[in-house]
Amino acid sequence: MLEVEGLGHVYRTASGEVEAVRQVDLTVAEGEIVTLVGPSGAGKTTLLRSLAGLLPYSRGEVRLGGDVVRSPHPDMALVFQDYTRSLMPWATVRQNVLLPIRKKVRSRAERDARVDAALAEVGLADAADRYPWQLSGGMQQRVALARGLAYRPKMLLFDEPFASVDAQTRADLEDLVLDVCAHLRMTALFVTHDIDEAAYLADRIVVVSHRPSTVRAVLDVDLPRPRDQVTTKSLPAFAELRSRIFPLLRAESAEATA
Amino acid sequence: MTRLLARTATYAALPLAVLAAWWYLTRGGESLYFPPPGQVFTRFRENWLFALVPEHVMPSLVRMFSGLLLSVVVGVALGVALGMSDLAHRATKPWLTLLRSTPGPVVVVTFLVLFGTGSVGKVLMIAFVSVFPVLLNTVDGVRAAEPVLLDVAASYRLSRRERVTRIVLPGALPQISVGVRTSVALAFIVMIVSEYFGGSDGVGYFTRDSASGFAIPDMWSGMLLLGLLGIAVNVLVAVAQRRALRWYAGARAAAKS
Ligand SMILES: Nc1ncnc2c1ncn2[C@@H]1O[C@H](COP(=O)(O)OP(=O)(O)OP(=O)(O)O)[C@@H](O)[C@H]1O
Ligand SMILES: [Mg+2]
Repeated sequence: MLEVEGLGHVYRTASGEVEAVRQVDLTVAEGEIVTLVGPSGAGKTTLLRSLAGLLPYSRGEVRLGGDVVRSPHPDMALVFQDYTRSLMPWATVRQNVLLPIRKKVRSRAERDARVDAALAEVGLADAADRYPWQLSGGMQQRVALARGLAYRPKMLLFDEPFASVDAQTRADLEDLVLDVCAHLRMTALFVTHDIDEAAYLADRIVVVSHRPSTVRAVLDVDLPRPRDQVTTKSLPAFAELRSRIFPLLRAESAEATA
Repeated sequence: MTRLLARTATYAALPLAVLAAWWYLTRGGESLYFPPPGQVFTRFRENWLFALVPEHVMPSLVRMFSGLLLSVVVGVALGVALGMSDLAHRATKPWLTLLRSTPGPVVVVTFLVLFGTGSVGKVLMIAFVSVFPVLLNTVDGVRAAEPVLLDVAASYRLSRRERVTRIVLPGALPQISVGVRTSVALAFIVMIVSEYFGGSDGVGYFTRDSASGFAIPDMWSGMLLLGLLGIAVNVLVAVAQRRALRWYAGARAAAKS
């Protein structure tokens, strides 16, 4: 479904050029959950914004369902890293989720039905009339996810969406993503710098290097689904996976500091 | 309730003290320029409750609010246009700042010459002076739009129109309202000044006319009315603003905790 070939991006700034992404090739098949793990500052957000059509990347090509992506594609929705800034504080939860489909969906009844369905999907049916700032961080990120779902994309992109919530909430949100993707047969690319999260969610893990990012390894995950925070994470295969990713990232930072 | 009473008492203390001093100092009643308060209040009641309201108060308020409305509409529309284009912003900013600092007397004389002493000239004078705070604050507010929200708008392929009405304008509203507050104060002053220099109606005209005819209690009743109108207009705008920006207060309080 998603094909990325030789993607590279160089930021041109007043103080010179910053090469954020050097050479990334990856594919995500339909219905697959791929996680992309890399150290902080690796260029993950740059990569994701390029895939989302928000950034005119310098080199390579991105295709979604065969279309070359140069601007945002209607089959793709992005859940941003910083939920406190990606929701409109002047709008209620319902209005926030409605935003992408106000013009896209003509019938009002259909719009309302979509919003209700999306909120129910993330377990927030009761919070529709509250404002984002009245909600906890985890709930705000659920609203952002519901907004993506209301848009009815074929693919979801996540940019470290759970980096700033507590451990328990994070586990709940990971399970929510798995449920939603399974239920709606959604394709997803999930960026994180957390090894456990990358392994727990994925069908396949792409490990990228320190900036400028290149793909260091692609690992297949054959942990059984449905997954469970306790049983999956105590499987020997899970531990083995972690121990394969860990040195890849570590060798990375050692090289970077050397 | 007791808190409201206490607050009202705090605010009222100073005017009451001034009133008492005024009453005490004018108790002989021999000064031509400083009549005792009782005399002014009587004249205030005769003039403004509500005999001269249609003739003087209404024209003043209509001109002020027309000028203000014009300045807000033009200021916000132009501010969004300039704020969303880097080039337009850079090309106009220094000139706007320069225009904004045109000395008051120059503005008054220019508008009198160009448009005469009728209502249209006065409304335009009010609008010209009060457009700058709205305009410059709108530009700043638009330029400070949350980049993540602009990404959200782009990724969901919102039209330019939706981007402006759903993201940019609401986000700039707190800043715009700062500008509007300043504009309201300016509009009120320009309303009075424009009536001082010509015309045949308005509270400012009435006050100046009374002064030049040595109708001193009338003049004081006009001053008192202007003071009260000023307070009323400010309270009105503050209340409207608090209602429109309830989300802003809430979000700020939530961010602090
Ligand atoms: N607009 C920009 N202009 C110039 N350099 C930028 C810009 N955005 C990002 N960079 C640089 O590009 C590099 C990669 O940034 P990016 O945000 O993509 O990394 P990341 O992996 O998402 O980091 P994090 O883990 O902190 O989210 C960083 O060194 C950053 O300083
Ligand atoms: Mg990032």
